[in-house]
Amino acid sequence: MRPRLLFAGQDRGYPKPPPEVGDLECDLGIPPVLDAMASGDAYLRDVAERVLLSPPLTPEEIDYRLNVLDDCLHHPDAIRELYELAATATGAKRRVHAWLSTDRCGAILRSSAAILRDLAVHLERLHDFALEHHGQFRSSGLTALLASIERDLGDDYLAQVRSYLEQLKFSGGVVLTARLGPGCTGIDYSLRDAAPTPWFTRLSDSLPHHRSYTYHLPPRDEYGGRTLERIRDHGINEVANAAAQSADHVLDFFRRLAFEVGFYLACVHLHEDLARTGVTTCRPTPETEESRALTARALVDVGLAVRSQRAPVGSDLDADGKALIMVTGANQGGKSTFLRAIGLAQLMFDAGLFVTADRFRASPSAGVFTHYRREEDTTLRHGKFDDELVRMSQLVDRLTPNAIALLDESFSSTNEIEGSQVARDIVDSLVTAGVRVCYVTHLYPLAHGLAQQHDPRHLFFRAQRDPGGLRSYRIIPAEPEATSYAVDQFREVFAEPLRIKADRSGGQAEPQQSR
Amino acid sequence: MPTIAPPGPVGTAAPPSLLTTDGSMGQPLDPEARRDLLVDRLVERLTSQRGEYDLDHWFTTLVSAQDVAYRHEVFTDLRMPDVRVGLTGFSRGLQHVRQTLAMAATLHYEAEQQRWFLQVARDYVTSVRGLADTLRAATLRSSALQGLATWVDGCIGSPRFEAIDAEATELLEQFGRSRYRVRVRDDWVEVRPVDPDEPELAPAVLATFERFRQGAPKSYLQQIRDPGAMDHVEAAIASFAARLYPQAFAALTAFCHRYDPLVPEPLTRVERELQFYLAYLDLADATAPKGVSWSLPDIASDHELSIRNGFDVALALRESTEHIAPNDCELGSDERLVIVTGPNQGGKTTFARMLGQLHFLAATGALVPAASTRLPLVDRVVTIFERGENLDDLRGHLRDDLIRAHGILEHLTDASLVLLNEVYSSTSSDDALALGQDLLTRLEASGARSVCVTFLDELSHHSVTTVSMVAGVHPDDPTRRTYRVERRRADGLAYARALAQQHGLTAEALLRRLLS
Repeated sequence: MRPRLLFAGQDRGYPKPPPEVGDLECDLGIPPVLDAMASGDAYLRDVAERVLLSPPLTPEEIDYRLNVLDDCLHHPDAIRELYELAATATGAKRRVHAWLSTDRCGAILRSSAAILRDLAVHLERLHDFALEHHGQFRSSGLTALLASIERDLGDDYLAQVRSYLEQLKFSGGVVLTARLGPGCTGIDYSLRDAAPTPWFTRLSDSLPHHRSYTYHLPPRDEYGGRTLERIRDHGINEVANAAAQSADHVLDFFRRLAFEVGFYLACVHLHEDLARTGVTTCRPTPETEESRALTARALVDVGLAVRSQRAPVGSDLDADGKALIMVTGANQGGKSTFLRAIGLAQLMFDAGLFVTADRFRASPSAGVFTHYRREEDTTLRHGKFDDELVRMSQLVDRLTPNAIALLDESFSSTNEIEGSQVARDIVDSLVTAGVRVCYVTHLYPLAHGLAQQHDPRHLFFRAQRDPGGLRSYRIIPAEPEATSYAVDQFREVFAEPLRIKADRSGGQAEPQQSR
Repeated sequence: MPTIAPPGPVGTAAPPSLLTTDGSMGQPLDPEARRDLLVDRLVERLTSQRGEYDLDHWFTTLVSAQDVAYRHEVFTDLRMPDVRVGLTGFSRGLQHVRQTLAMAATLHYEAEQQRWFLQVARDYVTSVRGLADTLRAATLRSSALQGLATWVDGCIGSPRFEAIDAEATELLEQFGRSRYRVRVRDDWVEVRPVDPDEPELAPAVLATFERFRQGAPKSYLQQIRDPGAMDHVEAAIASFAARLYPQAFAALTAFCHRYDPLVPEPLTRVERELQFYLAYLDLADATAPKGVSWSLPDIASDHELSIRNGFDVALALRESTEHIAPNDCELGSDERLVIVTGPNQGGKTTFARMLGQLHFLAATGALVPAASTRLPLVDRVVTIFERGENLDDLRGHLRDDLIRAHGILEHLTDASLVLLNEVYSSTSSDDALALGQDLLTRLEASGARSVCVTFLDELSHHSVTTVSMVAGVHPDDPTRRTYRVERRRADGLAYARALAQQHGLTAEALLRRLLS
């Protein structure tokens, strides 16, 4: 039995994110989103993190999860109840004070039987749940799960389980067969299913023709007692193993159920949080991977929404088939937010979640990756630019076609010309390799050079700025301008104009690399 | 020291010795050389699984040319995989028999002793039959193994052997059929015949929970430790079982009285001698993953030396060694003096040790650590190795070196091998050069082959027949040693020049990697 709520077909084990996701989480601002999904449950946070950061799905798999998610959003109380049931069941070991990490067969058998007795109660509750919610769900994931619970955990089955658990107490002693091995001691022990002995056969045992011989230990014979225990252990070793493995399996089932249902409950939490804030969510439309679709209406950064508890301004994006999205424009004009919105939306879409937009249509990516500006390398092993190159080199090892690489102010730690050259080489080869690049940059030579290409696969955005210098935080499609309006901010802070002017390309005055 | 029996004529009461044609024990390796060549590590490894045989002296004794050839014949036969597998199996079988009988002798109850005797009787028969089959199936070249084959054929054809075989088989079958049923409670146990109507319990329990099974489950099966010996409870159970199966137990007692002692003495002796060969073959296998191989040397009648892919055994045995850079060496019959120079940690000492080990092992009739070798048999291997810097006592150091050199020079013949490692290093280089030149002159006069590891490049021009060898570095990265010692002129310059080149190269390489 498997829950199969995350994947329809063959079991793939627990989702396992790649080891290098720490930067990604930080760059995209994922922690607040996970906190909203957890809603105070540390386990749910872990579940949400694992599923969200796992390798992307196929369009069919995305659809499968979205269907289950629809059910869950419609019946949040049922999902909460199922999660509670599964989560409670996973505490069986603790409840019965069972200890399987022992080398005593008898202790293993007693502990696992106790765990199984506890779990049997929860299996029964699970069966009750399935009967109660029969016919309520529409997704194939939840329908199939409830059907298999109804079928496989019926009353007859649970009665049989209880009967075996009773027999494993061995109230009549352990009966086994053996033969004499090389040292004339027993080998090939095999536990037998001996029916309880009625009183009249007990009487006939004493008759000589039955050839039965009994040895009673002398009083206080501890050594002999241990030998008897050892012989008994030979007999119950296998069945203790069977019981312990069964306990593990049933526990694993409940753990798995808690994990998979937990993911959807976490989605319900996030959905409730966003609804309170007034942020629109939509069921995204998955397209094939080859179509490289990416279109959104009023896309917002879900991280910003849950962090600020208000509905941010949305942006539109028509990037179907685009290989490069270049974002330039005013400082504090919402460029980084725009980049995060794209990254998070793709990540949630890839994992089968809803998206914070009015509409969202996309192809699954081959993973979302980030290369963001960093603070100075504190290990003093590399200079800052060196460090950027090192990180890019590591990233290049992980990028595959259809991966989405988000670059925020990459290579701005050196001078503009050199940084642009390096960045241009990298962007060109990434695009050639089929990686989809989203690049927020101040590097004018880079942006301008790429715009001159007039490549239809390139798309340019600019952080919008009204003439008075007030930001609207809207990102609109537009070619790059030669300034980032750092001078605006200079004025805001200094309340006076620049004293040194550097005239460039006939554009606005600008200080070198203001930070 | 145990004596080795001389080879008996074919078909007699004892098989020939596998190690010697004349019973002589040869000349033990000089203790200094044994330490400097790290031979103790080799011997420790060769005997590590073979403690019971007490073999150390076999591995450190130089033997006659005749015995070297005799041992080579056996090695050649053992090169056939079937022969080696068969003889290894025979050896393991006999070890097992010996160990089991020794264990049984310490047991308390007669029933268990007798039952163990029966068990190993079966193993003994199987081992000896396996040995006979192996030897019969192979085309043997060595007179040692041919003699053994004839003797073993006689052994298994004897009425006693055939009777042990037949009776043990029959008895074991009887015991195998003798199942009984036990019921165990806290303070009593009951034995009776098996009830065929009682099914096994564990499969039913597993089947019940089968539907929850996921993947490969963790095993909770316990290793239940049965003590080797039975106690009073098990003795009681065995005695009850004996009442259920009285004939089997009576036959067992008769069998034991009839066939004790089980293994004939000559077979035990042969099995012990076999360890000399198996130990080397096992060692060769163990070092194979490190990219090196062992071989039988080709014995030269003159002083010609030719080594392909020779390696230092001590290095190969070190666990941390992953890969070994083996070395070649070619010397003409007249080239008696070799001077090895080159950078520190470049493999000079390893090279000298390798040469010493090869000559010494060849003279014991063993496999040698090289892909192929042609070398003369030496009468002695002597070493003067620097023993680490002792700043407090430089003068004492030098004095020790001088005393040792003096002692050695007296006994050298033209069949000796001398290995010098940084000798006279505890003095100024002018003095070391003068003393070194003196020593080389004396060594040349002795006719012995000498290999001298030194930091003094000047010594490599000692005379026209002096061979200069240098430990190499990579041409484009002098910080990396090749650990290969090559025949060429000693010039300290190449290293420094290449080092200057290196920095530019590394910087470019780094840039290329980052921008690609």
